[in-house]
Amino acid sequence: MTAIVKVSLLLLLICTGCDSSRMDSTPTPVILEIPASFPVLEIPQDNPLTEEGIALGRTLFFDPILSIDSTVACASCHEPASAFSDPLAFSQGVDGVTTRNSMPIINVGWMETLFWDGRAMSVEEQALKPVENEVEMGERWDQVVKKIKRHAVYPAMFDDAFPSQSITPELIAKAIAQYERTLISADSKYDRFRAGEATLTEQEILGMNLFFNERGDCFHCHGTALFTDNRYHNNGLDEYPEDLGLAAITNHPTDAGKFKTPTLRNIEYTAPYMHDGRFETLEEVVEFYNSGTKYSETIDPLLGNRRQINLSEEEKAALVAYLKTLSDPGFLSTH
Amino acid sequence: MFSNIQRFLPCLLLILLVSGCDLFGGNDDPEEGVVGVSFEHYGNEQIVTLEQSSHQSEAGHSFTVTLLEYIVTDIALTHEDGTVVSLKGSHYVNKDNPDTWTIASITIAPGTYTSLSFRFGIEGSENVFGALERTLAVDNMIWPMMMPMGDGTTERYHYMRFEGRYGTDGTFRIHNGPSGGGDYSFPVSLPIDLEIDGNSETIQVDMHLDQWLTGPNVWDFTDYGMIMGNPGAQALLQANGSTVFAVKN
Repeated sequence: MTAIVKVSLLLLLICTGCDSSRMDSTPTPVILEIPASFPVLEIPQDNPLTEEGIALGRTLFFDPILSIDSTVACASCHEPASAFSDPLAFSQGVDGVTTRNSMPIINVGWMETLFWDGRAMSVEEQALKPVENEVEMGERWDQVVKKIKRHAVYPAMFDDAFPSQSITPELIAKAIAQYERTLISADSKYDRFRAGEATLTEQEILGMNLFFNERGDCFHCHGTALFTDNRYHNNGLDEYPEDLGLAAITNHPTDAGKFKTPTLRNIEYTAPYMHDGRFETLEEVVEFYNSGTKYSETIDPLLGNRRQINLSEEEKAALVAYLKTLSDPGFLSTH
Repeated sequence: MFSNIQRFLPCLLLILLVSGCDLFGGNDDPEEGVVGVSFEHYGNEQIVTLEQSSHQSEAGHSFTVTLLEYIVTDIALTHEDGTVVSLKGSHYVNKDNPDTWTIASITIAPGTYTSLSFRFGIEGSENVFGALERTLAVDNMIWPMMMPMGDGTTERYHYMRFEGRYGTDGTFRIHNGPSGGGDYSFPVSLPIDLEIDGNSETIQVDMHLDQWLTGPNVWDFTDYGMIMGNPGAQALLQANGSTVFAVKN
């Protein structure tokens, strides 16, 4: 090698500030495998999925570095074993407990709004919220960025995932959002039944029929392949809702007591139920819809006023059996 | 100088001819235009505001609307020469989402158009879940296979979900779609007088919600609850649908 070439290479390395092993580090695009029964998945153009971004997001998701005292990670309140929800009615944060049950993180790529009250308009926006929540993580974003910048591993991971970009709260949220979009669950017994690869028991079929007809009438809110309509309803929990839900965000009195419809996929693993975790079991949930809904001014017309379905014990048990066919055990362990 | 002009004059004339230039006036050939369609929703001639505006049913109930979403298909214009110009295969409208109120403008041939037509809902054999665009909103229009449909083989789509409150504490849900093997979608043809010659036009289609509740059949909320499995109720709504739509003039 001539002296000129050597000098040129040295200059190039100096000019590019280069670690020669990282010179060509372009993130590797990832195309998610979308279940055939699901609607179109829209991924933001400014946050395409990459192997490096997903890996970074996963690491961040399980790392308590985001909280002020390094005790609470995203996964603390969204445990994989509970289908990325919390077995506690209210989650333990750095300073007390939350006021609502943690929603499961399942198929969130298909959600146009997030949280029980819809205060986030994207997965990225959702990922930004818990850090500065005083109860949940209690940390300032500028402190999180400092901790990550001086971390032994994260700077290189960010450089791999987002080359030439400064580490910011938005970039951290983008990485977490990339990971969360990979949390796709679509391999339940019911999915395999629909694909002709499994059979349901007579009891499960009875429950399925109740779920999808107007008597049980679960399907109007939980009827798509996602088992949520991604909308907000007052489902008759309280005559005078103390938690305003959607109305606290929109300031519309007509939204009082409305909460986002949660997915029923993996519902077996996401107890307790409702926004405040008031029901411990699926049996309690079914009994509530059977006989316990309360009238209020904003109750959803789908529930009518003071609805009584009068399901028999056999029918209630069948509904629970059907709901358990929506379990996807593999989802709990593959992430 | 003059000889130069003489030399280039034939070329100049040729260029003018080839370029279609008319030295003595504008081009009279009619030109293509663009047409869009928008949907607006009224109750007793008052624009509907979800959860707020109050309207009156023929049966004597005051009511408010909490949800209104529906699907129209085969949207087309008919030219005075009988030519049918398709505007869009299917369109989903949700009163809560202004983005869905308009069918984007498309370019059409010049001339006079005499009617706008569409089908309210989806024609029987084409009403198969998955046949329409797979958005979250359209997927929510699913009409499950367990609902009485005749063959019971697959999911379909609701034509419309129209829900609300009436009186002091009543609620109603008018869901129409295929039921008991019957197809209760129906064609709508609205007369228009639309001249296209290089212009851009939007045709406003008004849905008069109070008309679902009368003409010819008076719909009393207290008589109907869940009607997806009720072909008789679906037939009543289908008949009432004949006066629901109008073009804003």
